[in-house]
Amino acid sequence: MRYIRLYKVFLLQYLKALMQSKVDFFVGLIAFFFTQLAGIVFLYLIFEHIPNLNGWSFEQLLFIYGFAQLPRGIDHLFTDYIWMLAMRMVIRGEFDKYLLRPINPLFQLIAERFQPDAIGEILVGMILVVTSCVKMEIKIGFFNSIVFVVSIVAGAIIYTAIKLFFASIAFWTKDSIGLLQLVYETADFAKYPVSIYDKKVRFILSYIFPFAFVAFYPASYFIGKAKLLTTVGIEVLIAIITITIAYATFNKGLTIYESAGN
Amino acid sequence: MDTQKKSSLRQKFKIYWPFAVSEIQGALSYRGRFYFFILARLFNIFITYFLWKAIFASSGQEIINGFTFNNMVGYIFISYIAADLINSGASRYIGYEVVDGSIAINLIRPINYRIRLFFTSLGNIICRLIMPTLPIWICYTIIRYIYAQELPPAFSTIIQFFFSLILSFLIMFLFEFCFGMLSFYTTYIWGLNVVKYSVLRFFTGELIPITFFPTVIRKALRFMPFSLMNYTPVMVYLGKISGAEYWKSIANQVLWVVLLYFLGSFLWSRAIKRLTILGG
Amino acid sequence: MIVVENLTKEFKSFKKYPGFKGTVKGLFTREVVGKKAVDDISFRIGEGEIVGYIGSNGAGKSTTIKMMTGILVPTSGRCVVNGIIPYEKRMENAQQIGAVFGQRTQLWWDLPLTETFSILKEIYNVSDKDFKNRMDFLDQVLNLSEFINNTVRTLSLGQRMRADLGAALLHNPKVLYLDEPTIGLDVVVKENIRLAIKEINKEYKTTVVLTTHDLGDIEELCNRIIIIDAGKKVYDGGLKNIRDTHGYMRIIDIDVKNADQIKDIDFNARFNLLTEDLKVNINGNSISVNFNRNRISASEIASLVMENATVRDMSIKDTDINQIVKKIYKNGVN
Repeated sequence: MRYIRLYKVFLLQYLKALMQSKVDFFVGLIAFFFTQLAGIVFLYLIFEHIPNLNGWSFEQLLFIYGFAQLPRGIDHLFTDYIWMLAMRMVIRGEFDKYLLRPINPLFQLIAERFQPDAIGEILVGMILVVTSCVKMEIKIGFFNSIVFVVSIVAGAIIYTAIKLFFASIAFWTKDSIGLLQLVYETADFAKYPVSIYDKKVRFILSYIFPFAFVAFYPASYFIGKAKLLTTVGIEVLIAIITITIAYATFNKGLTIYESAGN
Repeated sequence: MDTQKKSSLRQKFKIYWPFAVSEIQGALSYRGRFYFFILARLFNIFITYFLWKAIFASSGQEIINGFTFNNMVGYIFISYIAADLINSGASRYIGYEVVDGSIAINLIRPINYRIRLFFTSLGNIICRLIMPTLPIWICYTIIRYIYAQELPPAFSTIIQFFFSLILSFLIMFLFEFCFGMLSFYTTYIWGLNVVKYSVLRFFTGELIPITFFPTVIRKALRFMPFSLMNYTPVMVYLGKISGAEYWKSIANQVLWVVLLYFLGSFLWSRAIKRLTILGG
Repeated sequence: MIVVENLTKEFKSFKKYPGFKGTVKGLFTREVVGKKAVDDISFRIGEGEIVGYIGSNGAGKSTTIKMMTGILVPTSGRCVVNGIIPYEKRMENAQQIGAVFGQRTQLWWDLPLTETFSILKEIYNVSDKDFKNRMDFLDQVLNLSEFINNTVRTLSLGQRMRADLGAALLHNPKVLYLDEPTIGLDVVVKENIRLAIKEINKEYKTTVVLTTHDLGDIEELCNRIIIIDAGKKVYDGGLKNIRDTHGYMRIIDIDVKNADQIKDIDFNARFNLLTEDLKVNINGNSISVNFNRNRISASEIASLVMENATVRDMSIKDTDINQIVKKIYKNGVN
């Protein structure tokens, strides 16, 4: 409870600072909008030449693509500051301040920034999911709307876990931004049906960096191409396992943190 | 007269070359990031590769818009390589230096800011050439030979490609310089950079060959420098632009170098005036 | 209050090679070098003490403080602060300590200062009543109200330091760690900060551990100093002893119109002193004399100079703390 109240305090302060630069907010929003748009236009141009991609229609691809944005956007919205741990907090000794306060350091790290740019991502995702649902005439009932929310939350947790795990490596290596970026790039694979990849890539996406479970598998459940348990069920399981490992790594990292500088 | 000019050029080179060297050293000291950067780029290439594989399999055609699958694989790899070698991110440097105020120090020094920036960019590009790009190209060539019995293009074509690529680099640098001038007017150059990046990826042909665009856009692109930044050298490499058409493209590139050079000078003088009025 | 026993911290780093070739070489090789920043240090500090923790740059001061605050985990040995091992129970420890690291602010940069205090109130769970009392007290000793509504970014260095000190004290900590609290401040502000620290120590019996390069800080604040060099403790005791035995060298700088006549004078012969007690450097028209104040007074030197030249400017400097530390390390105390 105390942490929820604290988060509110932090968020309020952040929004106050943000209000002083509304233009920044809109530019950021538009920036992410454009980034997403590029991928969609690409698909559109391709579908001029093909009736379907490996048995997936344009609408289905848009659904997967849009669905992939949602957990990513939510993760981005709340935990963006973890990147700073990978980038410079260890090198510059900026992590000190979190260890000097009587609150969970991870909470402080996350609460440090709220990233409204991500709203652009979430918006694109929502628009794509809704329009493609309408076009495909998919009706999502009460049960499935709950599954939908659960899946997106679990997906966001997987993103956070992967980010936190690779950012925590920085406690050992001083910075891990390259590694983190690399892993994050693999998330892009999951925007398309995994069936287009060969076996090795599919294996990596499902079991090593499980991004396929963040987007493609749950999305194919909603399209009606797969069963609940083997998609969203596994996704939730992976979310629990990855976040546990990531948080343990983070805590281990704290004990070997070498505060640099004076 | 001529020798005097020559020696002053050499002197200039001596002044600015250290900027390139320090860039190279800086990049090398971040070696961890370096290796991962290469891998991350490769991942991206692979996504596109698989995507096109599926696209060709699903289309039931051998040739799409004049590209065979092998052509397309070549296009993907070479356009990635070219994109690496032309984009120096100069506008980002300007953004940083305006934000942290070090631009003022650069103005006090007796050096030309644009030339300095050019050498910084050059150092950056040399790094990338040595590290990710050349090895990727060699691997690509060997793998293509083993799996598709495909030979690299003729030596003369490679020379032509490089010549065009250097011009692409110049166009990109000058464009980036002009774009960087925005940092004098807005504090949010970062967001604008993201927008620019995604727009450029499209219009330079890095993401998809320009022949895939609707005719209207293709016509419009003819009056813009974007396709000359990436699409042109890649098509030269693939042998799809050659002979008279090659020289026409080169002339077009040179024209844009000149235009953007003067545009940059103009914008710079405006921005500097603003800077001195606002007091940096 | 604080018990430190055989505390040791070793850092590992990769060897760097010089030059451009070195950078290339570094791409392919990695050589691990271990360095003991803190080497087997023990001491005890009682409640309400103000202890100066002194040493030259890189001696291991900050590393020790960071272990005491819980930021770093020691390689071996242990420390206990008010019954808690800081690096094992960070959050509990954090509630009872305050820390100011001179060069790094802990304030919220983009917000008015008052917001920092309301956030800290939440973070440390300070009740409304305590908060009010505390703010009144802090305002009284640090004059925070002068600039409490300004954005932190716009504060002067002195104001920022006062604000940082206030922020570290809001939750009434038992122990206060100060790392270079007066660095870069002008004389008046320094004096204010020192007074405030004294006041807080007197009023709340707050234990204070401070590192500094400023002899003034030590003279005015500390009843005890601990000196470390190269990670090892070299002195632990009162200040008076140190000053009498080691802090006796002074420097007097005199600018004159024309130093020609001065150059001919043999100062050592005139005052019958060896060069280790009196050393004269003449550079153009500025004269710099390094002297032992137990053997000779500044006025004797100054009057000799004045007899022979027209003085433009004159100043006397205390020996730098680093020099004292160096000397102690060379000669050894205890």
